[in-house]
Amino acid sequence: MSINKILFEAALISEKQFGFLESIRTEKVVSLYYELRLILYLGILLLTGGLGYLAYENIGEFGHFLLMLLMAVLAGGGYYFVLKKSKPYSNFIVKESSVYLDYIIVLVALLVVGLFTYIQVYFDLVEELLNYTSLLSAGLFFYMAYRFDNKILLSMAITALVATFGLTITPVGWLKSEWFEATDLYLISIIIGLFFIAVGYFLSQKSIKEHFLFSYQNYGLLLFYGGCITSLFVSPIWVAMVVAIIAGGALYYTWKSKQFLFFLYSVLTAYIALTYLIFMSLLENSDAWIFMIYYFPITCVSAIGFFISNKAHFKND
Amino acid sequence: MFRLLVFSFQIKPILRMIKKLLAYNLEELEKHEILSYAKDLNKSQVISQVQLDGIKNKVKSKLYSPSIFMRILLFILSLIGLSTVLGPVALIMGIDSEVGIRVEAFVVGISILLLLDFVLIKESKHYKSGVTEAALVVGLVLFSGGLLGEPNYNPIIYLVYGLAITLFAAIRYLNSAGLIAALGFAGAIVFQVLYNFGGLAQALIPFAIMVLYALLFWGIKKLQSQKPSFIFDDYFTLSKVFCLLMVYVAGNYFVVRELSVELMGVNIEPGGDIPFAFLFYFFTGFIPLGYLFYGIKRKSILFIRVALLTVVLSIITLKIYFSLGAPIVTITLSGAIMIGLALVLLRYLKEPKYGFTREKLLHDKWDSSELTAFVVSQSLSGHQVEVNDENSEYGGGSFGGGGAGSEF
Repeated sequence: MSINKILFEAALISEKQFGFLESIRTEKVVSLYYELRLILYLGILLLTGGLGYLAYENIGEFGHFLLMLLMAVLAGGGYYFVLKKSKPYSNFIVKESSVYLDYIIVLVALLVVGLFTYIQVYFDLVEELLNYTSLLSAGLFFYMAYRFDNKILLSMAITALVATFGLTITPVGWLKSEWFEATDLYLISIIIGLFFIAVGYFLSQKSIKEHFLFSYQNYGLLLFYGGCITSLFVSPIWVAMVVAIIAGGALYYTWKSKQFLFFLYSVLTAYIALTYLIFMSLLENSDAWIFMIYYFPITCVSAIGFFISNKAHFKND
Repeated sequence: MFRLLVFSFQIKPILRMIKKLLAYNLEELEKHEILSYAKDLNKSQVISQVQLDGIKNKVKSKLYSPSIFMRILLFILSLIGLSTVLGPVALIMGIDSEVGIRVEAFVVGISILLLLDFVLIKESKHYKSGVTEAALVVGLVLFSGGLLGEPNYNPIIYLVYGLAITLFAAIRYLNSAGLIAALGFAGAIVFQVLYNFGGLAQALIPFAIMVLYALLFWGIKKLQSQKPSFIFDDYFTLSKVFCLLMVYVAGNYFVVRELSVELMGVNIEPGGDIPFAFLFYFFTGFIPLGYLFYGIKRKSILFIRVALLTVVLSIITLKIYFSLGAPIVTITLSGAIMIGLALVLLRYLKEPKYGFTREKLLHDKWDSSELTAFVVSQSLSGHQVEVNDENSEYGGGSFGGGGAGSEF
């Protein structure tokens, strides 16, 4: 028996709802929402990615000129289209009725930035403008993110702003261990992380786009903890203690307020800091390895025991 | 072949066996599923909060599943905690020989599995809590390591063992990774058997694998047509997607060519090609189109999704063997074409046509605006200027727009 039928026969859903759900289950109606948006996203990825490199290709003087003109026209036309279609600015969530407008907004923003980059490369201005590129992109992304209530652009804006300081928060960057190219970058990372957390908090207090808070907190915490963990390995031992205390405090706070993603970050950071602290202080002792063998199973198993005994606190509901 | 035919006539006993093997109470699983389905429906604004509360009042699940982030955290901690348990045990028991460690791994592995069954599942009613998955993985790995650690058996024995153990994990604990692994092992066994024969049998490997997964697809469909409980729906979908993908992959020209050269030492002379090359060209080109056509005609979202994926794979295959002009120009143009195609279809489906609509009907489990924003923003960058030397830019044929601005 289908799940819809069970709900219907128990009189938990109406006949109309049952009919609607059954038509989906039996594929009488099929939604292509995710599929079409995926194609759109991949198209944007390929197009904007490709345009960024075309500046280096030999497509002739005329070709470059034509391409820049085309990008300008597309960006301008796109911006006009978006302005016409979208609703006016509001401090709260703006629910667009269109299923693809958010991606078009992203495309327009990327075209503007792409055009700017193209001009730089073409007129050999890379050296002069290198430091401003990210900052300008970030500005544009921030403006459009707030104007059109677009979380993707907000994420891109934060990433671009971070890149201005020479940091990257991409998983790709982590894999290539390029997160911190220079050693003192962890300090910048910590400061920007705190800055984002503060900005997010401040804006949400002012009721300006409260639903953007998560993005600020998430990137802020990632940068903050990332910087903290890196700092452990290049700083005196007391830093580990400070990190453990801060992460421990955050752990307590996020557990109480049920922000489990941030709780996850905090636990991992606190655990790394604590482990580092203990192992470093035991380094002199020759019998330390016995302790280390017991350390991981005992700490992890007791942590699990604690969580499970409090499982009602993080029930999935 | 014969066994597979027999298999098709014995579906009812198979279903009974599956239900018997389940570590969970089927009714509890159904209640749990109904509740999570109802929550999704509420999120999709199909049912009201009042209705959801009504369902919550009537259907009570004893099973315990934490929220996703706690599940991840519990999984990580359990994985570290359980996999390091061997150390203290060895220390206490004074185990230092190789055989001793194997015996220890075997015993500890079994103990963890027993703990999973009798304490976590029967007692604490854990269901996909992160701890259960970690216990399953660590338990099976230790158990298997202890059992098969040292001696060098025939590879087929390892593969059959792998199939048995992953299938067991997939059914008993409803583990998706185990299910995929089991289907993978089935293909690997066919591969290994034909490979050992050598000669013509090796050349037939791709066809045998295609037939195997087509049959498996058909068998799974048959199994599903018996309408077992709806809790299996996701697993049927998953295995069907995997089988369709494998039918394609086994016939993909790139895969066949590379594996022929790597594993079977097929020598491809300049101007020459692998055996049956034309067939594989055909498969590479037409299987995705066939899937797409079938998916649209029969309105099967499963086929449409697999078709989209395989179309991309076929285009990449095509690009490897046939240069289509300057790569960057091709990438840019194909991007423009995809945007155009998507927009045309999105506008075309403004009003539902032939039962297809562009609107979101139900909220997908994985649909989160935060997650989308993260993934999309980290893959689209737009603010990067390449200052590297010319050659490294196109390295590995990757798309230009990857990671964001680590170049600064």
